[in-house]
Amino acid sequence: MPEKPKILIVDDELIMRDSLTAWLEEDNFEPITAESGMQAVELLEKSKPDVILLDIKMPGMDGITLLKKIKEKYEDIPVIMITAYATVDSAVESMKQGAYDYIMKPFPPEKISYLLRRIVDHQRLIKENIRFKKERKTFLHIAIGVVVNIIILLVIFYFILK
Amino acid sequence: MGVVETIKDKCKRCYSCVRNCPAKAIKIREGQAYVIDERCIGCGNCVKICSQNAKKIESGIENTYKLLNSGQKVFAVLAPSFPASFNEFKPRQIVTALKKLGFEQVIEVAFGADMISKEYSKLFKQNNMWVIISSPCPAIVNFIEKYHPSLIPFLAPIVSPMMAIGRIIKYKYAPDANVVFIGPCIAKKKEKVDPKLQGIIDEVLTFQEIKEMFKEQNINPLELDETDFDGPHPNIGRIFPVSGGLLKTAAIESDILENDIIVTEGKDRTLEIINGTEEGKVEAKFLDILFCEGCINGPVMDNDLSVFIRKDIISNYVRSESEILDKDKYIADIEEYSSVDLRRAFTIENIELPKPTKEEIEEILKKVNKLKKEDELNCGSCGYNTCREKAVAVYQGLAEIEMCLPYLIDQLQKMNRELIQAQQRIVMAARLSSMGEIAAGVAHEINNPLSGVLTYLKLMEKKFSETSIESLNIPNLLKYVKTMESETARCSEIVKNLLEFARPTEAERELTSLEDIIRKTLLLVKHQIQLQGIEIIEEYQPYLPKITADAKQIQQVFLNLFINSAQAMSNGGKLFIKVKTDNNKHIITEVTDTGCGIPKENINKVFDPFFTTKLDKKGTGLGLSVVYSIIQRHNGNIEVTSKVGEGTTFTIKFPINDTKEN
Repeated sequence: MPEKPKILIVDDELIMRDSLTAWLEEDNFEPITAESGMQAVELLEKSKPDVILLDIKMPGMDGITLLKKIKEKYEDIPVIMITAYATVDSAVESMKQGAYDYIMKPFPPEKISYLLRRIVDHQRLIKENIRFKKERKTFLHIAIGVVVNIIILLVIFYFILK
Repeated sequence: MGVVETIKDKCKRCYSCVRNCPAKAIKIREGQAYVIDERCIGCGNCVKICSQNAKKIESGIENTYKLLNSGQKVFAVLAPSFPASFNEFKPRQIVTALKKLGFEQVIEVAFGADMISKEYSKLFKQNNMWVIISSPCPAIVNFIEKYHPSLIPFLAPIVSPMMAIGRIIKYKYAPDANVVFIGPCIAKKKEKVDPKLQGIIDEVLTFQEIKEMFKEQNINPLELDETDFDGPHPNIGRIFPVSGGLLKTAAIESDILENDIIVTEGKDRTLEIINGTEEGKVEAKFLDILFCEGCINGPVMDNDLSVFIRKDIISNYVRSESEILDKDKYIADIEEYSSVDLRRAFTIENIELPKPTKEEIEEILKKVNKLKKEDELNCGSCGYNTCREKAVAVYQGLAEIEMCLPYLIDQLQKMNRELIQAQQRIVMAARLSSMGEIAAGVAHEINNPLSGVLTYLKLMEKKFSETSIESLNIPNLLKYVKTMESETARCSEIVKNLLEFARPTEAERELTSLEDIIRKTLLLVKHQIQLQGIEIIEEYQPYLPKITADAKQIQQVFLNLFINSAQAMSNGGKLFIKVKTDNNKHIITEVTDTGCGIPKENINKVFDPFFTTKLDKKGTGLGLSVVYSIIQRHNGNIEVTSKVGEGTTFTIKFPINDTKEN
């Protein structure tokens, strides 16, 4: 069984963290939570999640600021922005800062699962692609090595037989 | 410069001068009254009437000094009204004072009056054909020349006493002398420069001006010896400045039964008689008209004495002087100067302004909303007798359209209404914008719990459909349900608070004890607050009066305040509740906590809807705004003082129920 994708939920609302955690666990994800931007930054230093769900409106460090920080350090982690109160401005700003997608509360949890699944699959494809490219390169190296070795052996034999 | 000018910005647009100017010589421009010199007759009404002292008279002081310093002979000729102005001095002290100023001789104008009265007497006896209008008053002469030229032939062709004495000096007595007239009259300043009489009088000073010069030169006539007058001494001519003085001097007998001699004075009667004469309605042989009530009441007489006292002073002076008069010398003087020409001519000074047509007048009237005859109130507040007169003045550029008081009041009311409407629109806009804010806040506050509830529901749905009943984790599911319950309650709380804020309906009010409400409210939250490690200290002044209030709403106020305070003291503290009264006018409640306090930049926002620092995640930001609106609706007020780190005090004042309401 493949490893469960790790999802970081950053939201100051306890109900959001709890309900999403319950839902995502049920849906075969591995949710971890942070109730503030600061906590999220600390968590990120310890382990890298596959996807981050990020609330825009939070006391202290707000979602957009945190998004910028994340994108500076972990460019390849996809971030989905969540807000209970959407404005066009905040949506545009999020996308500009490199958010993967944008979703508005209240949302049916399936939508989150579907989005996460898609991202995770996408990420996996990318990873596999990279691995495949790497493998192909290794095979070529071996093949060339073998051929070169045979040629060297042939040359040696030739000299011996002479 | 004209003889009379307005001091800029002193004019307060009362239009008194417009109203009192017989010549309509006042022009209003941008609310300031200007005297049109060509139209001015110099009567001085505007100077007398102006309560703001905004009218100034052309000064002769500088020129007099110039003459006095020129090395030439300068004679002062003193108008016969002078004793009424210099009432605190002896007449001959004035002579000394004037000589101290540098005048070589001081001569009484009254001798000129004596001379011309002989001419009047002659004219009166000779003429039986038409009415004679006396001409010593320059304001009257100017008025007729400018505005009633048809009466010019009836003006007595005799100079004024001032001109008479001037000519006596210039033609015979001392032709090389400069003559400075000193009197109570503004029109004399105009007479001086009349082209037909020019060169006789070199300067005209008012009594005020000569007193100013005395002051400047530190001359106090009281301290001076008496010096006799120079030149020919007058006799009965000294009575000239008193109304009817001309008749007396000229020995023209006025018979009350025969209406052939009319003596009149003052602006209104003057206008009446002049108009009447022009229209042929006055049947008299002789009209003695003076714009003022005699020269003793001239526009620049500078003391507060009544006309009667002034008249008395003059009569006394005439009497006492006639006792010491050298009769032979007087007769000889009259004889000596009888050769001096005392005749004069008059000219038409046509200064007629363009006359508007009836349509043009109506066009102007329309601009101040006078559309029908009834709209013409003729209230006179603009300074003109009728709305039409004013419209003519507007046409002629003398008056401004906006000078109409009823129109201005209308405009003001209209503007006031517009302002009120604008204000209402602003209030409405503010309300709408706060509704927008509320909507956004509510969306945020409600979407969070809603989202959670939705997630749990979906999760349970999934579990129910995918898992067999036996293997369901019941405690877990129960936890979900509990959370959903509390989150739903939270939503309903938000909505309730929102409604409380939004509903502006009149509260159900009755006499209520504030103390009871506070105690009841505390019961609700005491347990919770004390669990937080907060000590509650209550202090009630005994026998507090009741207030008229909606108990439920007031309870909401204190509930919100207490919760607020408790939230500010997450690490425990003290909650002080103090209720007292100030002289039984208000009940004052102070709710003080020892919590985190409110930073200065936020203190003005605490009552704004949805303002929350969100330190406590359950804050909707509606609590204090609801408190505020409830207190406002109870005609009370709430104030907040706070210090970060020390705590916050909310002070609430409710008016104590006044008996009027019951």
